[in-house]
Amino acid sequence: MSWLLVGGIVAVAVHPEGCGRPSDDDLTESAQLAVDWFAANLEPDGSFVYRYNRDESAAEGGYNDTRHAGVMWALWQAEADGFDGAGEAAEVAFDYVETRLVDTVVGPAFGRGQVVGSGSTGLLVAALDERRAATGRTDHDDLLLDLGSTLAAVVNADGSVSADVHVTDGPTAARSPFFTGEVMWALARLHLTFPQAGFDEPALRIRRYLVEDRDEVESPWPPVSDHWGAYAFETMDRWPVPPPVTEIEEDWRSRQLGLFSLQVRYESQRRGGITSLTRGETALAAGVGTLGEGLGNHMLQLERNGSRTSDLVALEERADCAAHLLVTRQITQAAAAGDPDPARTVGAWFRLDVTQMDDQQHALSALLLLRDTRLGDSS
Amino acid sequence: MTLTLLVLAMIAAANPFRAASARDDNADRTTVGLALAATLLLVLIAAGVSGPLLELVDVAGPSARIAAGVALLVIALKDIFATPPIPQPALPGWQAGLVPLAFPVIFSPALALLAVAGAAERGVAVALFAAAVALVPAAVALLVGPTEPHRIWTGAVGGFGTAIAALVVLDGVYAI
Repeated sequence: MSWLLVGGIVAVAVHPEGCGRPSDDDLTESAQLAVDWFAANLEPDGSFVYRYNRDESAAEGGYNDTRHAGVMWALWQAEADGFDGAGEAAEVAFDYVETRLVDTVVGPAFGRGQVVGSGSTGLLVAALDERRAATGRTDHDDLLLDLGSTLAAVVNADGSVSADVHVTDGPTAARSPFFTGEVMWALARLHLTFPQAGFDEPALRIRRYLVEDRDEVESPWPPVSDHWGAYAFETMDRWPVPPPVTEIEEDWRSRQLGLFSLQVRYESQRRGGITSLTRGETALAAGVGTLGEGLGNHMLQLERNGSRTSDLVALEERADCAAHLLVTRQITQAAAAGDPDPARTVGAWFRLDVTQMDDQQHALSALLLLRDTRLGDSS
Repeated sequence: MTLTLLVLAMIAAANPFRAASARDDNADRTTVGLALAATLLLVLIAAGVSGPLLELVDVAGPSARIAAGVALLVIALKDIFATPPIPQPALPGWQAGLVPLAFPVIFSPALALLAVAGAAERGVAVALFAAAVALVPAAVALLVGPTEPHRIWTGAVGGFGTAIAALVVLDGVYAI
């Protein structure tokens, strides 16, 4: 009787995990399909189809500038890895940006209206800096430095980051769970590109706050699984003089790795059917992508430094699992054959028949990062 | 999961007072020794098949720890709230050490899953060692304890087991 009772309860608590290890070719093909989706869903003004309902075969409204900048970053990331059509689409996407650069009292920012997000500016910096790395072109350097000044200005004395900049009043008191890491990452990248410009100091200020205070001050529970923070740590590790990883930072990283891994394991238990009742619907591809991004960045850093080697096998399993979930959930040419407008669906990830451009963005970035970890590309 | 946590969890899973409550008056040292040896053999088998088993059911090591913690929680709650087992119809003579003492009284589903999860994380030898240490209190209780239901003490170990179960679950939750 005990065995039956325990078996039943355990079966509800722990489900089989639908994990696998996609081949390198699978990762490459999936990433190329995502790039192709962006190219096919690029509007003449440089924006992308933001949200698309497959069931109704119709685009839905709305747009998000932070996500636009994120897409640009992912496309330049793909261009740097040699994917066809990525750079061309990203260049056109900059047309959208050019008409939405706002002058604020602390410098230019990317957005619209009287209050502009610091996250959109941060991701724009990451995108333009990646463009510089991918193409060697320096024509946006002045803009990069100006945007960097704006970002430095949104970093408060305690290292917290103002989520918004008011055009005339400057940085606001608003906070965002994601913009902190985005701004830190952008400043970290800028220090790598322009080592004499002094972007390292505000980046390090954020780093201390993010690790030691952020969760307690802004989000006591649950702790943020911060893929943007992972990008920032990985970038700082490539600084000419990388900051040493302190004990408290190592603890933070351990918690982050646990969070990412737990979410991958949980997501992999969502296999439709009865698991919809016990685990809910599958997550957005954007969410699964961020798990791959977080794991990928931490793995790159750990591999580069030869640290925590005993954890790398398990991390690789979780990363492979995240990639597997993405590859198997993507709409392929064959799966889209019956769609009235396959250009809107091939290469995309849908949840409840809806896709949003950040689904493709985070998934693409994750696939590319996980590909890099396999290639040992931790330079 | 540290070795200490694994040992404590296995002690709770093989609750010595539950085992003593189920002991028949006629059970001698040989019977008790056989029960413990048989339990260790079952633990060895569970630990030995850990890798292929988890692969077969598509469960990662940390998730196996969550499963083991949940199983321990159920068994510990049962120890708290259910009446301790009384001596059951047993196989004749020394074979009573096999049924019911080794199975199902001592080798509970929680002990089985702890052996599987422990071996997956730390190896078969460590899981077996942990079980051997964890069975010492059961051995003492079986050999020197009175043969009557130990409701309060069984429940006390159950209470201890719920706390340990929570730690085992958390260990699996926060693992990579």
